[in-house]
Amino acid sequence: QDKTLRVGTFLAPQGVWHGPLAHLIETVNAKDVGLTLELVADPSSVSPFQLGNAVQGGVVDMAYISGAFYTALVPESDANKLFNIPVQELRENGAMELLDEIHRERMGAVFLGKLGDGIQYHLYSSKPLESTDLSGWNMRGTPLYRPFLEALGANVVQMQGSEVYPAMEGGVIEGYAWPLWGIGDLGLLEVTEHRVEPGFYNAEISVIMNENSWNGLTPEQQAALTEAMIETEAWFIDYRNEVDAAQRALQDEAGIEVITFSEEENAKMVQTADDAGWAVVIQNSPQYGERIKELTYR
Amino acid sequence: MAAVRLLDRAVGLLIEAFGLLSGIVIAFMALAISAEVVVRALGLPAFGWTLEVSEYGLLVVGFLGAPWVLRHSDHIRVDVVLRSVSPRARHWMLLFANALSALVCFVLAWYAASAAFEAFARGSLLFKYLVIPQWWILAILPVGTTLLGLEFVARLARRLAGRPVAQEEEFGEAVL
Amino acid sequence: MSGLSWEIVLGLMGGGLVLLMGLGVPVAFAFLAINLAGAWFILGGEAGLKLLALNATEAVGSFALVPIPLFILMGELLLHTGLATRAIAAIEKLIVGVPGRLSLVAVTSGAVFASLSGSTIANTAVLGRVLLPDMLRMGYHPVLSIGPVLAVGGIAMLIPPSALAVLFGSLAGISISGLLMGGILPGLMLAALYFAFIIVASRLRPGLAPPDPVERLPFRTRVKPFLIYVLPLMGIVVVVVGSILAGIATPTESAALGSIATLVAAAAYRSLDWAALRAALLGTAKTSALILIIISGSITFSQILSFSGASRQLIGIVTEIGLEPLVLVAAMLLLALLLGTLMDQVSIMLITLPFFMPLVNQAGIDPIWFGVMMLVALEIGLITPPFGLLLYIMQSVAPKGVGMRDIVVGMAPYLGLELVGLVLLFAFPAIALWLPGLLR
Ligand code: NA
Ligand code: NA
Repeated sequence: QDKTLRVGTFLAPQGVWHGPLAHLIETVNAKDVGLTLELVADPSSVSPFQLGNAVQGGVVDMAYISGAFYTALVPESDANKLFNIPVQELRENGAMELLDEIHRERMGAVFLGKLGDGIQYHLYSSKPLESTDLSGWNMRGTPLYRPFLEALGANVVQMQGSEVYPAMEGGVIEGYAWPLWGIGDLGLLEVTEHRVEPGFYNAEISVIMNENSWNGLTPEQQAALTEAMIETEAWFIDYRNEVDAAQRALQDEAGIEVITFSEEENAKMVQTADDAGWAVVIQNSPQYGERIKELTYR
Repeated sequence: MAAVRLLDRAVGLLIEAFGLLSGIVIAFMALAISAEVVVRALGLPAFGWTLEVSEYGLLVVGFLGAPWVLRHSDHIRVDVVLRSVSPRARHWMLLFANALSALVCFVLAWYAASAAFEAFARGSLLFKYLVIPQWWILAILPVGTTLLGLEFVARLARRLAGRPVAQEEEFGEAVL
Repeated sequence: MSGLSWEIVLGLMGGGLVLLMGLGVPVAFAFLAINLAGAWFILGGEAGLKLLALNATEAVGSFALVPIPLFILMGELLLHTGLATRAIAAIEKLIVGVPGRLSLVAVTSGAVFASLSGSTIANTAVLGRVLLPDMLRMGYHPVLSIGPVLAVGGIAMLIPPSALAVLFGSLAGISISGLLMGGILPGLMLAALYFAFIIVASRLRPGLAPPDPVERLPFRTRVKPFLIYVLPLMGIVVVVVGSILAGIATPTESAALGSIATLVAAAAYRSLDWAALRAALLGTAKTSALILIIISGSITFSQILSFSGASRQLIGIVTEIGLEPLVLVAAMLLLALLLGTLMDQVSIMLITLPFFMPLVNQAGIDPIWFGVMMLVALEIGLITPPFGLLLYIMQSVAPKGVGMRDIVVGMAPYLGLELVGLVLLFAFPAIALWLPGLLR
């Protein structure tokens, strides 16, 4: 039978971040199983922080959402940014089943898949970093990377996204962390002088679905949906490489200089980020934290 | 009847307390945010919690302060029509307005309370700088809308008893 | 739910809102009633209603709104500690020997307070209370007494700090600091227009403002109160703007610093006592609560509208008609002016912005330019009958015997001047965009 699923996204439905969802919708709609995905909700209608609740209650059937936005429902979703095993392998080693199980238990949702592997976060600054020791630095932080910035010794200042520009310009903060993608969209190119390489974490995005809506699909439709998800995950790798290159070029063009350290110090920085992140995950989910780490991180 | 009057007084005391609390919250926001600036300027570690505590403070001012505003003055209404109709028609319009307002407040209070209760039952936590139970935050709206609803019921009762609230007879309540 | 076409959704939600407001349902609860129905039918049943409660909570608990109570607090502190009254008295001493003297005092004081307070009401009230009795006793015509006070009171929402501009920026999703900066020159331009009009009018028609027999004091004596009671207040402006430019504070934090600076100023003048502080805090709480609860209603309203697809469809249609961007801007401003005769500023923003802003972004119109013009249009709405907030404020603070007729007569020329200002802004966007451009 013909079925339309209402989809919500946690980001504005245009630009580089929307690409993967657009591809998923296209792929599903192209399959001849009587299933149509329709994008009905974006931040203008459902706030990113409520999108998880919208899936849980069935206001939308499916959501394209970063784990950071529904930790109140699934504390373990905070771990998604820390995975460093490619999603294709996670489908083989039982990690996806575990994530699916946790989502079903905590919020009555099915975990369909994960996009965003390898879109990294970076440290950006207005003055050159001499080392990864950020003692005495004021850095803008959100809960996502605050533990990491604190581990580097930074003084973490909270502010809303729209205030990062004046704060960087005036010098309230000397730096901030953000994914490689989208500095230009935020208008931050002109107040940013440096980017630290390597990056850390993943700016991951999950696709989750209301369990009842899932159960209402025919086995054929379910299979088609999973298949489309896997196809999009595979398609994503080239897409990411393209966008990564374009975003680096954009930052180069704006005169943002790359700062990097010795191999040893770089490795230490990434390790510090990962350790800080996992410590929080395991503290917040004694039940599943360790098990998730085992299956998704090496 | 005595019980009703007692309830009205208890609700009144609670509403007054929330009005005072709203003023204190505003003073606290001004002080805490300024103190954070000073602390940072001195090179000391940032508090970290000012942002989210201010957000929660706005919920207190907005949702718990609203019943107090309603009790003491009025909410903004567009009174073009109210002004131009007969006193009798105005009476009926205000009866309707109060009844509808009470109803929608109680409906929202019910669903807001059930959202808060679900968060409580699930043990949901808000993972920000401060890790606190989500229901603490979600409980503010139902408390506020319940009090607003009760206040509208009180207005309705007074209007039916022939002694309408004085503010309702005046126009042009101001905002900014 | 999805069975309804978007035109019907739009008509039911918009029409229902107007109907309920017309019947006298308070604005916040008219929104709430429509939102509950919308959540049930469009978001879908009980899950939709619970999501509505979550959305309403998130809409209010937003850091972007923190400056609103803080900016209002600045105005309330000036009002209740008597600092404002003394500043007016000082400015009055400074301006002497010109026709229409008190009218010029009103405009000057109004512009000074606009930079110290984010509240049009507090400003109009204080100017009206302090200056009007003298003006009317001396036989000033309404055009040179009530008019200037009304007109300049509204400037408080253009010149930062401005609670309304913060609200506008957060609802419209445009840069709040850009909007605040953008309002400065247009605000000063309007004040200059009033100033020029008063000088011309009182020269041409000396009867409008009888000369007052002020005794001629030496300049030093006249300037001293200004130096004592007005100039130091500019320290508050320096704190707010300087802390941002010097990299000490974010714009939100500067609002907190500004309210503390006002408090310190009051203490320095020995005008601060518990009663004044309490009155200022409670006055702030009252206005803030009103604004916040309306915000929660209106933001959720536009969320539901957006979910229904109605906003998208409407934009699609307007885009297809292919109006020239400038025609589009003019049409939107005209609509805001028309709504301004009937409704309060906050409600107009709430109703129109969900439709206007996507159109503005789609058409590539500079959102700050558009935002500043909308603020001027909303400011005009403050003084247009039948529903004009400042008209009512004026009526409540004016001496006995001043009727709505006098108020409207006095206001009329300034309405014209504000429209001239709006046209100038439309023709020369640089008036709004030059300062924010420097900030970028
Ligand atoms: Na102002
Ligand atoms: Na008006």
